[in-house]
Amino acid sequence: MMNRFFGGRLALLVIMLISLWGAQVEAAISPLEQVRTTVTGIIGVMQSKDLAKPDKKIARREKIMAYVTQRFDFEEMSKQTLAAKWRDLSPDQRKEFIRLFSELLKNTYIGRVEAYSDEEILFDKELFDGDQQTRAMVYTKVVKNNQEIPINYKLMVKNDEWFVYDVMIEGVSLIRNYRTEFARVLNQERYAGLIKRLQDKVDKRESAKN
Amino acid sequence: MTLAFSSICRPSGGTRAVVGALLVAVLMNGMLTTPVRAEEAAEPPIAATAMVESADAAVDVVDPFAEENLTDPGPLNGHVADPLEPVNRVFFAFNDKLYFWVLKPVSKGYALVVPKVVRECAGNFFFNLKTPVRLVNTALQAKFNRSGVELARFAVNTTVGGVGLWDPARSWLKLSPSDEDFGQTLGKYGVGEGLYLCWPVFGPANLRDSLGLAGDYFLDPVSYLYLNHQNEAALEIRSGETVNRTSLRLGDYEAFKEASFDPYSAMRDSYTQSRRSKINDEPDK
Repeated sequence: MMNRFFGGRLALLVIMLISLWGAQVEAAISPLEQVRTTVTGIIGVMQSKDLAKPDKKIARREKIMAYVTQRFDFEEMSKQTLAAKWRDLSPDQRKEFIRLFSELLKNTYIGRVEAYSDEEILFDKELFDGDQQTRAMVYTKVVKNNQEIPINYKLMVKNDEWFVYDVMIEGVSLIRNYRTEFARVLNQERYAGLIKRLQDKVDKRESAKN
Repeated sequence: MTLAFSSICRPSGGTRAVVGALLVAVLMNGMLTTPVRAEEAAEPPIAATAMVESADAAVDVVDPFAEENLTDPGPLNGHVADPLEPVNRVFFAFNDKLYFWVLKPVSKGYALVVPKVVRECAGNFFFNLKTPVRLVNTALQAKFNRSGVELARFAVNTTVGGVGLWDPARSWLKLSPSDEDFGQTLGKYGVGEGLYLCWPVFGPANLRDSLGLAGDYFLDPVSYLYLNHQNEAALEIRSGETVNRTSLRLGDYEAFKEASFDPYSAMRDSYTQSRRSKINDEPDK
């Protein structure tokens, strides 16, 4: 009798906990799944025979860009890269910086994914930053020529969706690297010099494509 | 974008024989005259690094979470001691030219003649040959599970995997190799980085990792060909290995250069970050 009573209570508790947990999970698709969707999406485009035709070059690139733009938070990336300097910029300057920097980041990141599009990609695990669960790290590995290259994504939640704000390739953070590089340029050539250099990089890339 | 340095600048260039002895001598001398401890290495020795430091400090306002909040420790904050920058830059430029003028054309020609499958098998073979480096260094770091995996991998790949040409240990048994070397072991034991060095031919390193390279040298079976006075054979094997590896990673260094504003400092920072994160990896898994 007692056992049945407690058994019933326990079952109820378990159901309650599961539904609570379920509600939390429903609030946002897991960061790992969102990274997986983006990465496999990009690789799908890259491996598509139809899109590989020369006349589809622009369509192909646009498709890849769409995947990246959907999952990457370029404003957050710009903010963190410029650090203190970000506060001194006017809204227009910020917009301009985000535009140029996201172009550079897309090219860098896509170049990497492109180089590994034939290789096996393992989606290892995800970790959250304690109880708040507003930031996460997704661990992936590219298996290439008897080497496992770790590529980890840092994500933050915004409106129940996860967005990438940093990519770490072999333990090297994309944002950290650029922060150091930009700090050096800002110190020597001011903000105008940085914008000019960014513009040059993007232009060079554009002309190389055409 | 930073994958390049491990491809073209990992030490195994042909002239290792000559540099080997020299390297040890220089290092020993350097270690004796300038004792570099971890705390000292953390001090910014020149004004140039102060700028980087202030950038990091400023970011703490914007970025209070960073890696610390995640279970994964990630790379440490901090700067790189590079008092030899002018000399390092000369060697960096030298290595750059060495890549574009010699290594790249040779590797490209080689890739045209030898199919990718064969090159990958060759890569597997060399990788298997270096098992002692990984075995000893996992053990020195008390990662005994990983040492076991290395032993098992070597046994399986050397036999079933056709003297290491294939990697059935990974594809069938899901046994992945460890990425460990003596530089990481020294780092685990608390040896500081010392100062950053860019060696001609060998590429980026620091004082500690250079010593590590000298240690790993003695765990690489190919090194023992020198003892047998088969210098030419050893040199050929080393050069062949470098060309083979480069042929499989063509374009990485170019992409890295294209993505950075100052390739020299970008490589220095990438190298340091990468090494720090490798040293701070999980104790045993």
